[in-house]
Amino acid sequence: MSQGFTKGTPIDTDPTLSLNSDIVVPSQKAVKSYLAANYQPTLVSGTSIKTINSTSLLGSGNITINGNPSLGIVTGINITGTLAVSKSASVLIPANSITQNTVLEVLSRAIRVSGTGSTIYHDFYINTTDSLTGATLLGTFNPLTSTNTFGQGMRQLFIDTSVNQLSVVFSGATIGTDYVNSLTSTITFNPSNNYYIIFAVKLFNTGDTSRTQFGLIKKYV
Amino acid sequence: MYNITKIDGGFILNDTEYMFDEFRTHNSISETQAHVYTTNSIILLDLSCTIESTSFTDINSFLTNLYI
Repeated sequence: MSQGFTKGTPIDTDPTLSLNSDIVVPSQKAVKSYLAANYQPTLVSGTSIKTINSTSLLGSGNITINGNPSLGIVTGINITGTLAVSKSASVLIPANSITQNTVLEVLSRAIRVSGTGSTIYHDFYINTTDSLTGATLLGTFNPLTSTNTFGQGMRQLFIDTSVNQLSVVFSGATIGTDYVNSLTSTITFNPSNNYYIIFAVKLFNTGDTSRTQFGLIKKYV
Repeated sequence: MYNITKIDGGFILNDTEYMFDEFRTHNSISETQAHVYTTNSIILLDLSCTIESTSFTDINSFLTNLYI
């Protein structure tokens, strides 16, 4: 038998949720008020709880978050038998993937696969096609001398889409980690175009073999 | 294959205009390639490019023609 009758309606089953508690049992209204004050309504994805990259957070299971801002990491092909500057690897920067004040950090390591006694240069370029022909030199890293087995370096590319410009420390120079704007050069960068960052190797002995061990591009916004 | 169009003080490649630096600096980096210094960048050109639709087999001749 229900407790707390009011005007013939049991307050603990009151369908209108309008009746107050009595001294014996809490009313439906009181229970509702308590729940509203202490518990969150059912979550609705995209409404009361945000999504991550359009993925709902509701339900069980795991969502893997890729915290790596990498645009791409590549391993290059071996270069041998030529003294020409040769593409070992490249990374596509897709059209419309760059926003205002993006920084691209480029890391490159070239290795001597075989051969000794001669220098190996490694540079990186940018082009709207995946080709060195017509490419713009963006960075020259310290070359591998005859005794070096690898060489690596890093550059930051600052992109200002409001003026369609990319700036990089003077492209023909090896650098330290600190520099000022007078050491940088600026080239046109149209974010609506595809661009390729091309990692290149130049041998000074056709019998040697070298390649880009890794080329990595991180994007910071 | 790209065709280079010469203009006064520079060239056009792939719809982009480049102006030579004041010293017309260039480096032959292999028998078929050169770095050509422009006012704000260094461009890699090679013998796969034609200049005004003319092909070249020697990088020095290519560069000489480019700067004439």
